[in-house]
Amino acid sequence: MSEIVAQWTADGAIAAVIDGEQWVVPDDMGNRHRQMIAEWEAQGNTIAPYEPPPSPLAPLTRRQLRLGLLANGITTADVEAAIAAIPDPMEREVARIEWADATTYERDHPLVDQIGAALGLTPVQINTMWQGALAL
Amino acid sequence: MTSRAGQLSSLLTTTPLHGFRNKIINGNFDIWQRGTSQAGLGYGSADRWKVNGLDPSGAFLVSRQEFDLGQTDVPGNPRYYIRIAGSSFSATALNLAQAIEGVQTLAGQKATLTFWARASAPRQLYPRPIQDFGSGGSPSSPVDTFGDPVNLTTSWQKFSQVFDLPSIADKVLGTNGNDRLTVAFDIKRGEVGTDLGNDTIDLARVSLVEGDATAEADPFSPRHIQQELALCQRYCRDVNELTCAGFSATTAIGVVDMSANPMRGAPSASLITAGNLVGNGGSVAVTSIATVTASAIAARFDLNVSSGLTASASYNWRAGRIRLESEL
Repeated sequence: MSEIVAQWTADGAIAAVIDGEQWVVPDDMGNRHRQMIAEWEAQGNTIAPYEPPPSPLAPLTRRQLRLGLLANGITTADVEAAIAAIPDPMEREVARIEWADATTYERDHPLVDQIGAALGLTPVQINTMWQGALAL
Repeated sequence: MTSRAGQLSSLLTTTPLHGFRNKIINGNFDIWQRGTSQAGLGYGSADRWKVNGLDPSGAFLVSRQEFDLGQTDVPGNPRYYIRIAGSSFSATALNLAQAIEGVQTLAGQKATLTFWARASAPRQLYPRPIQDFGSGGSPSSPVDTFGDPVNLTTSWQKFSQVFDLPSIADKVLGTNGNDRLTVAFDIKRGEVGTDLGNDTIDLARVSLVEGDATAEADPFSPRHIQQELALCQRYCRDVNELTCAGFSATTAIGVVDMSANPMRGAPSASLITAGNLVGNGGSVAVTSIATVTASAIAARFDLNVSSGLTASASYNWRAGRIRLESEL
């Protein structure tokens, strides 16, 4: 018997790990992976229900962003130094304008991960800091 | 007046002698979409061929091997053969098998299984056609037709066996549409056969044709490589390098792949290589495929990234690969 972990997706398919391989399986009994999952269900296992992904992080105001950074030991000067280190002059100027002149900041803006990486932060760490800053 | 050459040509192209008489797909081991080796059970290397095992212990490797150019041990100048090599491998059962779609295939008829094989040391191989009526509902039990064991030596030999495949009258098909005629080469089947151990077994040029073809030197009946690939892609095909022009959100982009070559049924999908979405002046790593709707002729994927896409921009998906699989 195969080792299976399975969960419904938003589209009514099944996201499954079958013997270590990840598959998205249609809910169609003509499909051999669906048949394997059905045999697994017949042994008393259950396909986990669909769980919607967490809501995207809301934008931060300039004040929230700077306070959030400071709360994690990152100063405005640290960010400006990271921007100054961008080698391409045009990209550097775009980043400087975004940093200095934006009134709100979107989490999924590419510069957030780029500058975050320059400051030694992973995307997961940035998410945690972002969530904390939303409460400030 | 028709010449004898013309009559022969007509015979070759309009009778069971023409290319599709061979019910085995990829019997020449030319197509390896999934990779050129596998160390696990199931599908994983040569298209359409599956390694089945029970209670495995030790290791094995199935791999693509190449013939020397101009060799004459196996006819037809095949390029490749398949090898299964054991490393202290034992199991309750082990076989290499191909499931031919439709249990009606050659039912109630004579059929000839022809192949070339050898081993690193003398041992036996047990051909076995299995009429499997599928799953779902209350299908009839599978019917085995046991062949005679063949004695492998260290040299290539041709083996040819005629099977009287039973009629399927009064049998009941399953409701899942996965009935089949499976051709299994049993290495071990319970008390029959011996463990693979540290041996290797090589197999080449496999054919299953209607009637008694034992008098033919080589009933393989080759097809063009494009036909063989298309036949394989009914059961497994890879999608890659898509251009994702159109909508996008910031953490996902939808892509649609249409195929002119329908698959057997709605396929499963697996992200084999994530790749990158390139466009709008940047490159963003794909992390997963989260949702898929797929039918036999088209599939829609959402390629997910952690962040960094620009909404409504266009991207090209580069160096990525999604596998669609609709095997039996």
